[in-house]
Amino acid sequence: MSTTGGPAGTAVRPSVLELSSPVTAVAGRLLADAGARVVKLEHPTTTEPAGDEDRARWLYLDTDKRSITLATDTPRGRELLVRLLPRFDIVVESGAPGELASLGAGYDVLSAANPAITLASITPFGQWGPYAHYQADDLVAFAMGGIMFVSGVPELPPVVAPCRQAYLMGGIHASMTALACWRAARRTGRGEWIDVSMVEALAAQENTLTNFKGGSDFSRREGSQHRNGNPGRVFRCKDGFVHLLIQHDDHVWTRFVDWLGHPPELQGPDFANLMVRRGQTELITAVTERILLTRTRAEIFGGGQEAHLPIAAVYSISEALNDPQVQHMQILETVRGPATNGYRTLRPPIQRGRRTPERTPAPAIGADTDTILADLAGLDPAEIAELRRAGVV
Amino acid sequence: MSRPLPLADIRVLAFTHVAAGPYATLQLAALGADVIKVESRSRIDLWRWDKNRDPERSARFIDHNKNARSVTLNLKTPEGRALAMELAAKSDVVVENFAAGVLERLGLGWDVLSKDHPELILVHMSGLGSTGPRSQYVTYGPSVMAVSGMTHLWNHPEREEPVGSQTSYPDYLVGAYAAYAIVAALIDRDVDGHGRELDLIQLHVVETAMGSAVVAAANELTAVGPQGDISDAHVPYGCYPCAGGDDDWCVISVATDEQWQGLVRTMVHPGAADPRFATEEGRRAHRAEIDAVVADWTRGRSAREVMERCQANGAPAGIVATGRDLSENPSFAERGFLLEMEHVMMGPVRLPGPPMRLGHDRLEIWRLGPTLGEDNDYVLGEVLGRSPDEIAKLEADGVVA
Repeated sequence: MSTTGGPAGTAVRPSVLELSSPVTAVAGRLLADAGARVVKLEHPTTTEPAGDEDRARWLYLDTDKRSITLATDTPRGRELLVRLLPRFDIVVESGAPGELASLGAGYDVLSAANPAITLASITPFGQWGPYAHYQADDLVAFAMGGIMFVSGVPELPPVVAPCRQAYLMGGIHASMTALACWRAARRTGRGEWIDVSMVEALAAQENTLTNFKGGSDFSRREGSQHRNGNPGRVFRCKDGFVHLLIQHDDHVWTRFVDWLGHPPELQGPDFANLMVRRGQTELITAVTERILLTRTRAEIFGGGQEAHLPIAAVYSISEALNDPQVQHMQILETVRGPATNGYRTLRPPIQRGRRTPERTPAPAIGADTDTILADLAGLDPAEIAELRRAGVV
Repeated sequence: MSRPLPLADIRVLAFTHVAAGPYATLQLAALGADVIKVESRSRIDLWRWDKNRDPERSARFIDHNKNARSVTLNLKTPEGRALAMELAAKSDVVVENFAAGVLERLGLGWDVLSKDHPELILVHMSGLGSTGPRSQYVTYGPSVMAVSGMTHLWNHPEREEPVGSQTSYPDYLVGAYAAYAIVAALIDRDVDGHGRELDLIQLHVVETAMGSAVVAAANELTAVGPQGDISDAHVPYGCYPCAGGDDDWCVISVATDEQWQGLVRTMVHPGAADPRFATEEGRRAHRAEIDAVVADWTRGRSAREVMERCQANGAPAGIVATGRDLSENPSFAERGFLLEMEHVMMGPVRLPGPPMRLGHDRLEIWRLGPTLGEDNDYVLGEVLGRSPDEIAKLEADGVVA
């Protein structure tokens, strides 16, 4: 049994309040995908998404959520915040360290009102430490996490990953930990304050730290050239780009040369040795490129894989969505609701073997304010109308 | 930490190798799960073959397999498979990242493992899934990234050929995501009492990581193309050259007037005080001019100085961190994110810890990645109840090997 009622009063799924930001929106998406009932709390002055990019983000991130508005910069808004938050199992926030406490809703206050509550705080550098007050959006956090420096070609600046991966990595760690803590709290009655650093979540990856051997011996940008593969990089072909990654095994090299059509420059048993090939990168790249330029991307992807070679098409997202394998995976589903003609969004990757939940469309800002204030703060319609006149909701 | 960790009641049996599988169990182990990794001397985890070609001296292996135990089982023998099944029966979760179908061919598929253990959660992590026209394709992280559209998007806007990255990002993304999916499945099991088989497809997870761009494409909204270090919303925004070394870069991202004022105070540059730049709209209209002013200023100092001075004035800026910068990050050091540990073969090593903590406490890393079969006695003795003589015989017979 859940130790708190939660908005809908059900006991088996955590209720989540997302103090809305571009960071918490991602964690809220993941929690909703895992079956949690997510309410996002926004400021009344928030505007509806303008432009296709914001609209796509809103449709993707906010599907299944409910929305309440509250002016937490007013005394009455703060008072309601302190009343509302303890009614949830999990609260997700990404304010500067100390900001939530300054609103009177720090972990101590929430935990006193609801000992089982789990507060997940996501920040660039964590709740304390010399950089705790540093401001960082996705770009700055991604750069500080170490992956950007090794992304790109040497002659141009490093390139940040697409689609806000710093926010995503923070969100994955926060949602996994929050779900684990909520699950434990159902037994122990005690929640946790989770402190997730987005920069640490990136710095933990890819051995960027373990590969540093002192001095200037650290990984650098080398385009798409893979550390262990040879050939192992993006190649241009007749009508686009493909990715090849031929690694250690002798028989993989044999199949590769066979598939290439036995170019004379790559004859000889020595080439089967990856160490030998590393010394011949220029030659191998030139010969491979020359041959791939005569073949189409589809030929290379299908034909290379028929020879059991790790060869892949470089697709745009639209092309990926039209690939027969992606079509077979059915990664998209349609969401319908009273106020929408329907739109397509991603089916969560984790749902096989579970009942398919009914999905609800992304809510308009504040669409559920009245219901939630009535259910969780016990306000009557006259009180809510008064708050609305005062700009609090 | 006085209280038990949240997953202290969970045992995970891991048929994992390389990066994605170990990175998943690494998260679960940090949260308290007992992770047993099944290895074999006849088929050694590729991640154990680091630069020095010694399976017991691989930095990347001891990093990604922190807190895991190692048992060596020869799964080609019937006795080895029987021991694996016995371990699965004592586990809550079995996770594997072989190619699709390999576990089934070893005789350890869902039907077999769940027959007497319906509460089991079995997680597959293949590249393209277990069914469909391309399910038998050979893929690594970079291949999945190429097919997903991420390689195409991770580029400068004006450049045709993707720039590429040294990271195999899908491995880490999918690994962390799998840990989240496993916790979600544990909750599902608490709810309905049933185990389940999860076919967690790497390609599907990578599409999810670009969710808004996928939704744009799927609904015929304006397509998202490669954006490099350019933002439509923020000015200035991007990666700027610095003078701290031959490859020194900083990033700056200004969203609000307040942050812009902070940057202007920091730069003290004659070009920055221009009243046309005072509003967001004005800055968006003069992106190129502002970029030139900012680059002119950053070129004269190190990225670290840019970061420290901007941050002191409330303007978001950072260094584009190298491996060395990470190892010298004062926040990592003070928070104990940087672990200084002693490896039995490698001596002192420096590794990253878990990026999440409970309250003030660091989640404990109690051991580095294990040596091959380091926990054979524990796993076969404590978990499966075999006597020392029985274990010795299993080793002599090449079952535990």
